[in-house]
Amino acid sequence: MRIQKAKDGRIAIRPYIEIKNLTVRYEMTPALESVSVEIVSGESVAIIGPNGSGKSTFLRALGGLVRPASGSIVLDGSPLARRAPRDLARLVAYVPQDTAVLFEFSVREIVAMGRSPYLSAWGFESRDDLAAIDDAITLMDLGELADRSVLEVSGGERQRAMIARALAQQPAVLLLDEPAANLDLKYQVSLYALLDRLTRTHGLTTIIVSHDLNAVSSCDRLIVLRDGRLHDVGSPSDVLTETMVEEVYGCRASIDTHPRTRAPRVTLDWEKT
Amino acid sequence: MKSLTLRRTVITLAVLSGLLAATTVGSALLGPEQIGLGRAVAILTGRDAPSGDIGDANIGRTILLHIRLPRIMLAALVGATLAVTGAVLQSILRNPLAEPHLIGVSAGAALGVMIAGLVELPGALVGLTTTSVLAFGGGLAALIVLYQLSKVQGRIRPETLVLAGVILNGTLTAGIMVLTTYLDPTRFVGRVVWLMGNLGSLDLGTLGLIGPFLLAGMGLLCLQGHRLTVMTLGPDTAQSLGIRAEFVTRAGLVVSALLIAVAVSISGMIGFVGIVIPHILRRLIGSDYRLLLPASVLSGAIFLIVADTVARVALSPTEVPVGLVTALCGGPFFLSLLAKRRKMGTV
Repeated sequence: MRIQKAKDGRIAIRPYIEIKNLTVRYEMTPALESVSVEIVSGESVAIIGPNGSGKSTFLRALGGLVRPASGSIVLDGSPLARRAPRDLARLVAYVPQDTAVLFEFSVREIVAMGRSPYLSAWGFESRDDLAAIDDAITLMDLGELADRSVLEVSGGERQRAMIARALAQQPAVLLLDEPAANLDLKYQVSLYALLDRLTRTHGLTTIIVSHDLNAVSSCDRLIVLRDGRLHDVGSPSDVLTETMVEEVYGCRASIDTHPRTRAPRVTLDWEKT
Repeated sequence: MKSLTLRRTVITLAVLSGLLAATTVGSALLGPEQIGLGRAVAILTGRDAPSGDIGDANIGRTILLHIRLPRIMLAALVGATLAVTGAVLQSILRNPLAEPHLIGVSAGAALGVMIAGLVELPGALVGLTTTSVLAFGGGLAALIVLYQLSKVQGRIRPETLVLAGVILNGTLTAGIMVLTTYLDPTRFVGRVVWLMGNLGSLDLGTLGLIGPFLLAGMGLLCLQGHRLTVMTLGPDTAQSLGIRAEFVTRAGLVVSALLIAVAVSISGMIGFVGIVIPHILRRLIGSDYRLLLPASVLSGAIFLIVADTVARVALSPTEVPVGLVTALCGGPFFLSLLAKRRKMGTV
C-alpha cells in the first residue's frame, strides 16, 4: 500500500488508481457510464457482472486501450491518457480474453514479448530481460513447455504462456480478462494462489474480470457492474449477497460461508422449474 | 524454435547474403549468350576494356553490364520488396495468408499505371513520374477504400479486410482488363506482358531512381522487427506492450503500399513472392520479425533472381513473363498451405 503523510500528520492511504466518472462509448453505444472507483496499490480487485455489463471495457480502459468519452483515470498521480504507451506498458500489463496466436512462436518467444517495453528498436534482450523471462516461465510452471510451439500446446497452456508474458513485463498493475477460462482446476487454483502471492510479496495490484463468483471471493474487493454502471463495490463478504446475484445476474443463488477459508461461498440454485 | 539471439541473426543473414551473391553470379553467367566466369571477372575488373572495335568481347560486355546485371538488380529489388511487404502485411493484418496482391494494392497500382498509359497527361513528358504518381495514387486509393471498409468500431478487422481485399482485387483487375481494350494494337502486347510480370524493360537511369527509394523503404520496415513481432498478437496486446498499434498499422500499410506501387509500376503484377518466402522462412528460422524481415529481403531477392533466370532461359530464345513462373510455383504452394491449415482447423 502506498502510504503518505497528510498535512495534519495523520497517515493516509493514497489511491494508486483513481477512476472518476469514466464513460466509454463504442460509436454511439454506451459501454460504460460514469463509473468512479479508487484502487489502492497492492490490492486484488475483481470486476464481476453479467455479459455486456462493461467488465472488459472497464479493464481495457484501465490498460489505456480505449479512449474514454469523458471522465479520467489517474495512475500513480498522473493521468493515464498522458503517459507514453511504452512507459504505461512498464507499469500496466494486460492479458486479453482471446489468446489466439496465428504464427509459429515457441512458448518462450511469447513470454519474451513481455520485454517489449524495455527493448530498443532493433535491440535484443539484455541479461536482465532474459532473467525476467526465465522468472516468468518458472512462476507459471512452463519450464518443460518453453521450447514447444504455442500452436501445439493446449488452450490452458497457451493462456499460462500469456500470463507469463504479462509477468515478464514486471508491471505494478496486472489486468486479466477471464484468466481462468481455459485452465484446468489445478491451474485455476494455482493461478489465484500465485496472484495472491505476487500481491503480498511484490505489491502487485491485480484487477481480474471473472464470471466465477467463488474464485473471486478470495480477492480484497469486488467491483460489480451492471449495464455499464457501477452497481456496488466492496469486500466479497459485503458484496456477494443473494439479493445482488438476483438483481445483477437475474438468477437465484444460496450464499453461505466456506467452512475452511471463511470466504463467502456461492451455490447456484439449479432446481428445475 | 529456440529464441532469437544476435549471433543467430548475424549467422543467418550472412549465409543468406552468400547465397544471394552466388545466385547473382550464376544468373549473370546464364542466358542465350553464355559468359564464362573468367570473362565476367575480366569485364568487371576492367581488364577486358573496350578496344573500340565491335568484337566478341564488346557484345559480352554490353550483355553483362547493360542487360543482365541491371535486370538482376531489378529482380533482387522487386523480389525483396514483395517478400518483405508480404511479411509486414501478414503481421499487421494478423493473417498468415495476406499478400500484396491479395488485398488489391498491386491491382490498384497497376490500374494507376494503365490510366497513366492512356490519358497522356501533360506531364507525360516526364514519363516515369506520371506513371509513378498514378501508381502510388492507385495503390493508396485501394488501400484507403479497404481501410475504411474494414474499420469496425474504430479498429481494422483482419477478416473483413482480407475479404474486402479479395473483392477489391477482382474489381480492379476487371477494370484493368477493360482498359486494355482501349490500348492501340502496337502497345497491347507490351502492356499485357508487363501486367503478367516482367523484369526486362528497364534502363539504368530508372534503376538509379527506384533503387535507393526501395532500399530506404525496406530498411525502414526492417527496423520495425520487434514491433511487428508483437503486432502478430493483435492491436490490443501490442498496445499493452507499449507499441503504438494504430500508428504502426497505418504507417506499415502506407509504406507497404508505396513500395508495392513502385515495384508494380516497374515490373507489373508478380504474385506469390510475398506469401511463399515468409512462410518458408518461418519454418526454417522462426517467426521473430527481427530476423524474419531482413531474411525476407535477402530471400525474396534470391527467389526472384532464380525465377527470372528461369523465365529468361527456360524457353530460350523466347521469354516467359516472370509473373507466370512465380505463379506456377507459388499457386500450388499456397493451395497446399490452405489444405494444411484446413486440417489444423486454423485458416
